[in-house]
Amino acid sequence: MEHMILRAKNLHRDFMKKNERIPVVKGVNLEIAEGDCVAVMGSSGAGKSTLLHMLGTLDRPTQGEIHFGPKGLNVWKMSDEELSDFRNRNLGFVFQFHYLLPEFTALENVMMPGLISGMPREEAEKRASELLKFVGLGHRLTHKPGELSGGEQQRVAIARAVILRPKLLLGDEMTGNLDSENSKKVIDLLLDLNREFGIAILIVTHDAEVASRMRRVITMKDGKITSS
Amino acid sequence: MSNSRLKLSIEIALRFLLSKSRGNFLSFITSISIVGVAIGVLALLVVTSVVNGFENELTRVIAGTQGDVLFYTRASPIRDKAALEKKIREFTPGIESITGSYVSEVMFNGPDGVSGGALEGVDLDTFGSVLSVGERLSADGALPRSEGEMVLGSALAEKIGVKTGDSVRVIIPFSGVEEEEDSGFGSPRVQDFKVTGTVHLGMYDYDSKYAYAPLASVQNLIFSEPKDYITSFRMKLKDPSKAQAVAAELSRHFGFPYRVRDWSQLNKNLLYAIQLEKAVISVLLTAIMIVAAFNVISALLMMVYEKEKEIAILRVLGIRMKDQFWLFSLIASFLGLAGTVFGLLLGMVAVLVLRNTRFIHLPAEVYHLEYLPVIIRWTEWSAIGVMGFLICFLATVGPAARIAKRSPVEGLRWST
Repeated sequence: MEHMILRAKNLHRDFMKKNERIPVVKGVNLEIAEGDCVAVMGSSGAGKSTLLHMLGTLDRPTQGEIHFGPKGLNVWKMSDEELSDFRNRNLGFVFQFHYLLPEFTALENVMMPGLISGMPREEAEKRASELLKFVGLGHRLTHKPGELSGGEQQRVAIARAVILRPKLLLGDEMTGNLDSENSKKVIDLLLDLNREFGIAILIVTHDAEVASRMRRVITMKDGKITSS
Repeated sequence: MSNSRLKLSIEIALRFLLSKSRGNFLSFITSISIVGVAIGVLALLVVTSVVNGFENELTRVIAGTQGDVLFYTRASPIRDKAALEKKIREFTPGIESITGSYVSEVMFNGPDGVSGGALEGVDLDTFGSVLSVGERLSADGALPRSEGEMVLGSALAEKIGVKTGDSVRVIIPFSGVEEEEDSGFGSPRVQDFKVTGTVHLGMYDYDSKYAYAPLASVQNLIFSEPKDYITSFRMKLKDPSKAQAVAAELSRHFGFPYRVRDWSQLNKNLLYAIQLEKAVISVLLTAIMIVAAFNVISALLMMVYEKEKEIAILRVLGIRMKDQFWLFSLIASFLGLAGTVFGLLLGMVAVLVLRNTRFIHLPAEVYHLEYLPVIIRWTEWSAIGVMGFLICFLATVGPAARIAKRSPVEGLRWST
């Protein structure tokens, strides 16, 4: 039996605009098992990114619950410190825009989650260096983000997301800024990581080709899941 | 906060601050905030050092005119000065030198009028080792060496219209009072003195009041028969900072009719006024620092605005709210520290230039000094340094806490 790593129940997210309540996610139920590969598809404004932010503990749902791991840990009952530590150790994020720190080298960027977790610098450096070699950037360790191509930057961001071997990697339109060749490379890399380390993957995309490479595709429309 | 987290926050703060990729405008705002703090620190340092200089100069004038400790009688004159001096020396091991003098309230009469003042008969052998009157003589002046000679305070001389070489008539309204307590008031005595010079003591109160003549001259003027009486001892101590303790100790041993005062008690009001002035100036200049701290807040907010996505991603990666608060506080602290250090260096240069070149000229007749005196007190400099840094740090605590509370999603949502 597969172990569930995430279970979302009846998730809602409303935003307020000039005293007007705008529902963006309307009652989403979702389960992700260990080693899963899931794509969430939908048109712009369907609520995909908002859902991803909630699943990634970055945004609190207006209503509903998210439970992590076999014990069904409710993250929204945690303090900020516990939640930050939980996010640091269990979740990896890759966004459309790489969000690398421009002042730090590729190696230092990948080391960052390790350093935040309190990992000794030498170990973080060793792991980051191995990961950058794994993503094909062993020759770019000391390069700053500004000196890398878009595809390379995104690969650095992926390496950063998995340095602490998270249980779940969340990707938000991560190939949205890449050409088809780089896009393919990035998805290949994700699937390699999934196979190699058993990291579950949930990506939000509106690229059908990217979605088709995941094992499961969920479609969203108007804040609701319409097919899964 | 663990050491590794603090080290990481310091590293990130420094990278953000020293980043070459930062916009020109942000660099400009950062520089302005540093310069603002530096100017505040500089102003405080220079002003307090100058006030210290004036205070020190005043202290020198008071101690140079009155001695570190003044021992005087409030009733009949001291008859056996040698015995009393011996006794004083027994109780005061820290005395470097001591001189006896006879001070009498007199009237000075010159071509331009009459003025009240104090005529001090000084022991020419010893008074130079206690008082600095001799060093402050006018260029054409000399100390009085024989009977019937005197030097006058410069303002007093000007008031009654005499100069070196002129004659001054000294009138003692009640002679012989000091000789016998119950003898009643003696008849007024008058004597002409030759002015051998004027003395510029450096404080108007003294310059307009004091005149110095040989001790015997004054004694002979007051008493009908020669009597080696004095009214006071002035003392110079090996360690002038102990003047207050020495005065207190002597007061304990010598009751009425004697009274003992240290130099600071003799001009308490003036010294208190200077201290008060210094405190008020410091408070006002601290306001500059507070304004400068607002520049630091602006620089911090600008940086947060520009680094929005980097800050958001750090939260996504697991930086805690508390760590983020420290990150912002560290950025503000580094700006405050840079401004404070810069201000301290500028202050040091300014004070050294003032001290060594004396390029600011003051009208000597108004201030008794031709230059701005400066004294560096390291305790004050340290306090100003610590205060400059603390003001910047404390001013940014509120904004830093507010920014740190922002949700990471806000940064991600808008910074595309």
